[in-house]
Amino acid sequence: MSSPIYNRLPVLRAERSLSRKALADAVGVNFQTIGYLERGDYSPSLELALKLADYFNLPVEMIFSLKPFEPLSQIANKGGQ
Amino acid sequence: MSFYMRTANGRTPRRSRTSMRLATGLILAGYPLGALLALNSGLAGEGSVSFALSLAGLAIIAVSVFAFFYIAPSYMQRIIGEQLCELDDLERDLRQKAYAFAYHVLTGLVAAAIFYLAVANDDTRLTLWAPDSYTHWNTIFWGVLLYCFTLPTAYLAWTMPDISDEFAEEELEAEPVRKPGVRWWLWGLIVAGGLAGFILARMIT
Repeated sequence: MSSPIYNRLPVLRAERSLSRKALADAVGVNFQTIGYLERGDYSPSLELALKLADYFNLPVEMIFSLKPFEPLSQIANKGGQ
Repeated sequence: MSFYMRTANGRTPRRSRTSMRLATGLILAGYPLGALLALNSGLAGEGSVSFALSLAGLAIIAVSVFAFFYIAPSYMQRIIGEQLCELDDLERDLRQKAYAFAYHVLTGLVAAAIFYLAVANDDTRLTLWAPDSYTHWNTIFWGVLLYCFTLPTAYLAWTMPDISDEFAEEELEAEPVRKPGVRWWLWGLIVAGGLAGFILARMIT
């Protein structure tokens, strides 16, 4: 059984006010595929992960991770201390 | 081997996971049941009971065929039957999994059927039923074809998470539309095949 891959796609999409359809068109997949990715029901191929990283202009490890991402509130609290 | 039917307006009709499960279950269970009833109705004698059984069998077969045409234009059937170049990353992955499952089930069924036929033909003391007419083999042929088309879709219907509720209506409406094109080469091939068959039949007789 492969371990789940966590992602920041919903956050990245929300901060850019992107619909699933727009993101899907940009990386050349069906909009439902983005839905499955966001839910964590599907782990992307290396090609798709790289396309998404390229689209958001971020390193792949900023979007996908084998460990759950730290919540933004926690990061903000750390920054404040 | 599978089959996908693009709708006339080019949109993929929405089918809930429950309805897909029901339809595929109906096809996979209904066709063999209907075929058994229709083919063995003669065992009930010559009267109206036999006729009613035969009619019921044909009705169940018809329902399972209609159920197939319900799933044929669905998103799940698209994953199974659409040209590979039209599918994305996830869809190709799902198709591979569904085909692997269908292969295992179908090979298991074929092996069991061959074993059964070997016993039925070899040991006459058991008096097991074995197909012996064109009608029997014709029914089996269409059943195998229906199973080939439906098994991968049934796998998806039982394993794919249902996320259709998460999408807004306008998002679903915005789905790209690809109307079915007229494949002239295919029609040409069918007509040429028919003509060749006709000429060959005339020449042989």
